[in-house]
Amino acid sequence: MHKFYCITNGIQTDITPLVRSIKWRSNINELGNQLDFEIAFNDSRYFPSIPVELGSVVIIKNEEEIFRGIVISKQNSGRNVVSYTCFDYAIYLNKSKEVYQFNKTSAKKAIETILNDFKIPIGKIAPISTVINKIYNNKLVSDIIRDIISTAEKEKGIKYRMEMRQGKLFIENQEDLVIKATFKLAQNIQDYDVTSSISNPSRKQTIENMKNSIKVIDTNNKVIEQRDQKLIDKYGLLQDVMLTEHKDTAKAKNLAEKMLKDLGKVMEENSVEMIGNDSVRAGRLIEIREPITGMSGQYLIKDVNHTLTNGIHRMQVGLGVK
Amino acid sequence: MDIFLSINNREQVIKLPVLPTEFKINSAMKNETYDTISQGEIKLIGMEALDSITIQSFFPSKEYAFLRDNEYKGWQYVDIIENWKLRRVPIRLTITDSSINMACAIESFEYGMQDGSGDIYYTLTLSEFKFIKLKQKGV
Repeated sequence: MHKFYCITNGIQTDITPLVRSIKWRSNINELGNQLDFEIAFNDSRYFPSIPVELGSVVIIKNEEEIFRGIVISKQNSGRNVVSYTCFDYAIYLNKSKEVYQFNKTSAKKAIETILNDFKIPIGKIAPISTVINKIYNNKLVSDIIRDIISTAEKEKGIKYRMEMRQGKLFIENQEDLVIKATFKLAQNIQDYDVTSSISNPSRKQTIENMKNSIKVIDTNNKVIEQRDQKLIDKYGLLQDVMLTEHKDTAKAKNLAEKMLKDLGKVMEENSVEMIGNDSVRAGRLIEIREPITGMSGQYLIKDVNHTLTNGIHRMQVGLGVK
Repeated sequence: MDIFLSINNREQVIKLPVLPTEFKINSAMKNETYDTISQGEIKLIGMEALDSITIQSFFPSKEYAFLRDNEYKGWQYVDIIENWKLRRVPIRLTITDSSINMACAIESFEYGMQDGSGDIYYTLTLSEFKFIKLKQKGV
């Protein structure tokens, strides 16, 4: 059973009895989750006054806390319901701009500096040793963090994901974010895996963005090439060229290898509907086996839309290859 | 058995003068059916819906031997219920010899004359009214 709490002026109110039609979503391209909900409102007697205001903290708890954020907009229409939109604390990173200069700073240190400046509590940041030498001028703070992470991903060939949990920011190795999602049909019935409740699966496979040959040009104008001959034989040559600041051939070769590994594959754009589970969030990995469309293996959750109406929790999940 | 309707902690009470021949409480659940690809339809148990009840009877315009109450006459009953509607507060339905005692909202009230007797036939639809209490604590 999901519980809704609202904190306004230091008073926590359980608003569960008033809330209806809850939607929360996350997307891999956005830092931060969004929550939309509606609250019953009526001007007749015996109806409690609504304690939710702009800037109030809203918390959803199930077995554990699944969302914590700030009310950022409110819409009254007519007499009956008031709708609210909330974002988690990452909104402050998405809406603020800043100037930063990093000089031989490790990626982890750089991100920590930014988060401390914006007073975002840090849950855990993976030790990212990549060195950042860059000036960010008047950029969105979330874009700066994202740029630092993508620099590290290219160098290390590791995917990192960031997400807010219980009001704290976590940046973790994607491989650590494999989830096993289950659901219960009733309280006294065993758990089932969410994948047994797949509805409307769709699977799109494409080689549109495939690159099966990567050329990296270093500062000495030396070209390092990495190709995947099997894919070239099958699909034809799809090539990308990249300039690097590295003088070191080994580093340039490493970069080409990592890029080929990332881009040299058939991409998928899949979507499924399932019974909801709170642990399904964009950026995490989930195991899907769906014989009708042929999905099989670990997929990256690209976006999720959770809906909770009338006590029933459902979700729409967009999946891609990891 | 008797049926009572009252408003605002028994500020005004109506005892139905003529009982309906039958009444049924409609107590439902808001379940949903979900279409999965591997096992077909499955049932998802939703939340409880509001109970509702429809009472169909008449308000007598004159004295009958079988009346259970004669405090008001014909149109007086209609006026009382019409006034209750305007106050926009829940009313209470109590049925003796049963466990039914619930706060209700008036969903619809249909009334009129028929067959020249002067009695007012009516259909009153009530639905459950739930009181909401919000729990608060300092943090």
